[in-house]
Amino acid sequence: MTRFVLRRIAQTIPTLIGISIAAFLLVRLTGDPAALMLPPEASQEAIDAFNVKFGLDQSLPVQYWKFIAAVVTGDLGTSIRFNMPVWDLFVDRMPATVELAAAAMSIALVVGLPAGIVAGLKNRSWADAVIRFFAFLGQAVPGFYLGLMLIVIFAVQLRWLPTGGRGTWQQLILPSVTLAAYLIALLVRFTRGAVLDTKRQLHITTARSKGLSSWLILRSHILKNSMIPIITIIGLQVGAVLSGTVVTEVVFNWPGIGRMMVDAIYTRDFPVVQAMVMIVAVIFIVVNLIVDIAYSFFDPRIRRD
Amino acid sequence: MVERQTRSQSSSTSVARKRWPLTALASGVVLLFVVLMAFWPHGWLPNDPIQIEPALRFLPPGFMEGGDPQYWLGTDVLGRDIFGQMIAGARASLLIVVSAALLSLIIGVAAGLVAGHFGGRIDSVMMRLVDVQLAFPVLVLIIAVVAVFGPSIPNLILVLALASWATYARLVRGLVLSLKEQEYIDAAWASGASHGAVLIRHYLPNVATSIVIFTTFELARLLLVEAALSFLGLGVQPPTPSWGRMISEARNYLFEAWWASALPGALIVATVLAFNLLGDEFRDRLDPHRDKA
Repeated sequence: MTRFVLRRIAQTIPTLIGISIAAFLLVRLTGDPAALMLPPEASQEAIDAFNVKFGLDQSLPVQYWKFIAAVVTGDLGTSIRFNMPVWDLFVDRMPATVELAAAAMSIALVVGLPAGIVAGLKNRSWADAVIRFFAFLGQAVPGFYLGLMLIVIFAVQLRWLPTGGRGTWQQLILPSVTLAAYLIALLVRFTRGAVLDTKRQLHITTARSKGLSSWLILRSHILKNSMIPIITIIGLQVGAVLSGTVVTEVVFNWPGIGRMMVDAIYTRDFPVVQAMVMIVAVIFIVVNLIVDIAYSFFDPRIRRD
Repeated sequence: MVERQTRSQSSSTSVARKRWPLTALASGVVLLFVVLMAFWPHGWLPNDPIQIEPALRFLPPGFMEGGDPQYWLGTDVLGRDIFGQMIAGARASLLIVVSAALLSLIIGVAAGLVAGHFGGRIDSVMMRLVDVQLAFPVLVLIIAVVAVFGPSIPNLILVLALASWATYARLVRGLVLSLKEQEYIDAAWASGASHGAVLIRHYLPNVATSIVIFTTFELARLLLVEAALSFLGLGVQPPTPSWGRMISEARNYLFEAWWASALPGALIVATVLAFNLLGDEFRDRLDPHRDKA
């Protein structure tokens, strides 16, 4: 197990290097990083100082090395707009995004899991048809559109909930439902498939022929065996959630890292864009790593290859 | 192996007789409509889709009170015809999405074939690249690239393709690895076929079905990404109409004019839904590996 974990951690290193190269090149490829990374009114001295600091007169490999050295020591650059370290901005905004993502994932589990189980157990029933219809719909609706339509109905027409912002629990409802919709749809389709697959396996037939009650079969045989792939799928959706928060945060004026990034783009605050690409990718990799390790813990067969 | 072949043969003949369900037919009609909208010249439209008429701002749809039949889906914040913009918006969206899908397909399938076929170092390098690619949250990556390089249509196609090739590569590599052990591949080698011939004549036709199925879903996904980019102002730029931007432009007027954002959004939903439903139907019909119990 330890060997597997170590190997899996080692495997992330090339990925991390690749991501850092991509983030590095993203800004360099446009030609003049100083023009991107410094404010437009920057003085010639400031431009020269920037060029010396990052060695822009030197070869690309040397530049990359300096970039990595800065990142490793925790220097992710300085926001042009706020004139403070990007890392501090990130720490400031992250809790809002975590709150939103956690709420959305909880909603997705509470709604999607039971719906998927029902659809799988009663497949080809009317309940299955209704659940699948909504799952298809959930995957086809753009997050920003769903968010706006929820605002039209619940904030503008019914006036039950606020249109945006963060602070009260009422403000959390619409954005988290918006973000959860796609996850619910995915979870339903996946859980349904996993339950259907398990249902057909031999040990279920055996359990039935032993005369076990349906509830016991459902709980100790079907659900237990369907859980592993379902947990994995949830973990692997972190990327989708991170992408989804960008749009959701913009629609609901939610002060998280997604909106921070979009704002940074509009204001051409490129040090923030560059750093956010790296931070988000690293979060994604770490979560994937944890999911992989957890998965191998539940299913020892994975560790073999 | 013999058993599997006979099983898939018998099931494919029984499937061939299965009628197309209503959902699949409806999806086909929707897609046909969208494609026609995109490629048919726009001269037949009742109003010029990019014509700004401040006096006609937020005209409600024709079926509502105060609506004008000439603008039967209403007008937007600048008095532009919503129906015309929806029709015209299909062009840019489809152009971007279809080109990006084809480009990522070509890159990804080539990479997957080569990696699976040659194995060894090429394979490990290729798969690490795939890992790096898949490690980026797609929308974040695309937003960053478009922000730096600008949102022209060629840029959008390129970045969407570069963000999508990896799944093709992984899919095709997996299929090639499973095909490798098949007898007819051995036979091809024994008859003196070159690497190129084995790749093109023997592997490619056998992965084609899976590629078609996957591409159908991929088009749906790309359409959603393209709409999200347009919504964020990073997609096709004005005055070219775009579904995502229509919604974005109308979002501050939800109270006055819900139709200006609701109608283009409904069209996006219908199109994405059609691709997904059709993809499901293709998979049920064509994929010999799928258990149809």
